[in-house]
Amino acid sequence: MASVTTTATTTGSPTPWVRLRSRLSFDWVGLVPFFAFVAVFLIFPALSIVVRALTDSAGNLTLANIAGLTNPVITLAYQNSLLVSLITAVSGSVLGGLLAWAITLGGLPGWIRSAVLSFSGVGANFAGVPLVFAFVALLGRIGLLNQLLKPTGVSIDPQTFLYGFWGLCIVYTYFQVPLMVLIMVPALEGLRKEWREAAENLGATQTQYWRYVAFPILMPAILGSAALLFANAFSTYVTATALLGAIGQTFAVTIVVANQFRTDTFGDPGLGFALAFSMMVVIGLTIALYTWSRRRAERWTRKVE
Amino acid sequence: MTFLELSSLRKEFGAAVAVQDFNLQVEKGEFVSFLGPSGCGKTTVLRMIAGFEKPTRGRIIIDGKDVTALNANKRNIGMVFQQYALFPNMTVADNIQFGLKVAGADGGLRQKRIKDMLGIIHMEQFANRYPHQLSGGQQQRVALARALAIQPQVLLLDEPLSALDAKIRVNLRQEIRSIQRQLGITTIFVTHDQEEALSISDRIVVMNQGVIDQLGTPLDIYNRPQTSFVASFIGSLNVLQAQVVDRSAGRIRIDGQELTTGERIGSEADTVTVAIRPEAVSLNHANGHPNSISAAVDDIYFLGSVVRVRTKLKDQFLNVDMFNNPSMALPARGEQVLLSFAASAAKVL
Repeated sequence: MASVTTTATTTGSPTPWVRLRSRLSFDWVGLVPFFAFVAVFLIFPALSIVVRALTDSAGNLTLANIAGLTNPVITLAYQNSLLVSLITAVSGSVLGGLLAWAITLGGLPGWIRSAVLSFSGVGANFAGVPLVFAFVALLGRIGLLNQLLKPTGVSIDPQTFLYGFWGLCIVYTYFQVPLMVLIMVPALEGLRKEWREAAENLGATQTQYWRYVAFPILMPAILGSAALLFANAFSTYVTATALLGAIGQTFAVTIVVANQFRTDTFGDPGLGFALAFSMMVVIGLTIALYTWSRRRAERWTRKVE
Repeated sequence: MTFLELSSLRKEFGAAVAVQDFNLQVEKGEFVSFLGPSGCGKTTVLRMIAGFEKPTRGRIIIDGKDVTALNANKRNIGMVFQQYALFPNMTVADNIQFGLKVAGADGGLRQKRIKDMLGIIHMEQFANRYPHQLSGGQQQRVALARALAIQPQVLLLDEPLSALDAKIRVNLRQEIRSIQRQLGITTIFVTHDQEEALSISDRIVVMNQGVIDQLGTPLDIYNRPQTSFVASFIGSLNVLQAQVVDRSAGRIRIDGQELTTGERIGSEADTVTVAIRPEAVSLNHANGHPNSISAAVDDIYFLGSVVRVRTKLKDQFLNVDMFNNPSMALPARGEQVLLSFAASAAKVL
């Protein structure tokens, strides 16, 4: 009898050490490298940026760096970056969405789907100097297009459309479209044939099916893709620098940020940190807007409150 | 009066013929099941009626109107799919009113129909739920309500119960039949489950390899199978090899023991195939029986309401099904028993 009582007491109230051990299972060890990486390369740099954006070189609290963001050069860079990001997010979403639709639901031969997906895998990651070089080789002053047009006497000046705002939009669209394809293909393949047939059976036209059924179901994926495309364009640096060169030193926010740290003479690291902080805010707002709209779009997936 | 007529329907997919020479007349308000194994063409016929597949040849006539060339969205046919196919982004009420909404019906009519349909399927309190918040059985009831809300001329059910648990399946099939009777709607029900087809149909179309093997009432199909396929596909069946002994008297020999069959049989010494339902055989008939053979009990299976005794003749096995009765005395394994059946129960295929 006595031993039974002792056992019951032990199992009824485990010691704090036993409780801790039961909570800390070995499974958590797998997460350590990830959290360590995030802490060192994301959280610490982010906190560092925020702190240094709000302090001067002596470490005193100041809003001067933030106030520097109102400089007309910087506001223009912001305007350019936001517009390019917005335009290429929309163009990438529309063109990539249509392409994804064509290869999944469009009834095209299977080899086209494979070819487009293979290209998209490469194209989505094809950015920076090689991409700019490819466009210059095609559309530059002595590029392939002008060589082909030479016998006709027609010459296209790349300064008017390539080395500037619209050129950046065109070049960015090159990697935005395949990125959209990669994200949207699984979403489109998730549309069940029975939904279309059920809609049709109930009297719906193709337009009504897309309006009432397919688009609302795809909306979370579309919003997520558009947000990703926006952030992708907004944070692009090498492609913009390579394309615009010396004429674009103040064109985009990422270039302006880099310039603050590149030269000792003209650089202002405090302003650079403030710019980096403001970019974090923009990305944060984008994520917040995306999360809000996605929650609205997919409210049908949530349980009853 | 024929309400739905399928005339010489044929469907080819490339070189493969999925359905051929399919002819069927269905009366208004009739409940007809298409029954057959996977790949026999039953769903293809259903999809041709719905307008999702275009027949290679033949005509589909509903209420005197040829709808063969009409698009699916112009046919006014309700369909319930195997995997529910409810629109996941819409509530139960929105799913039900979808057909009326796209047809431009006014809000008052839509609300009334939602209420009526929810009443019919007994789900009034679920109007604002989304499909993922419902069980499989509930989703299929909503799918039925959605199909009925447009007041279709014909209701098509494509294996609507196959994804459900056994118990829910039985309840829902009774509910479907009850609603169908209540609304008097002409219904085609596709299934590969013979019990389902036998229990709820006015008539059954048994299909095999793209053609109709037999068309008849459940009793006809079960008791008077016209082909060996129907006989073997419907219910359990003992299929035995026998030799013809006396053609005029219908005498045959199975594993050395003579029996009488009521069927027309071939010439003397021919080998014929004989089919006997397990429930048509009685074990150790009390008063003796003129048509009996002896066998040894090989095994006994308890199947709930039925007890199946597997017996062995010389080389062949013969199952005997008996209703489970607590007072019944079961033979022991290896025990010799006498198997008796009416001559008419032994069908020569």
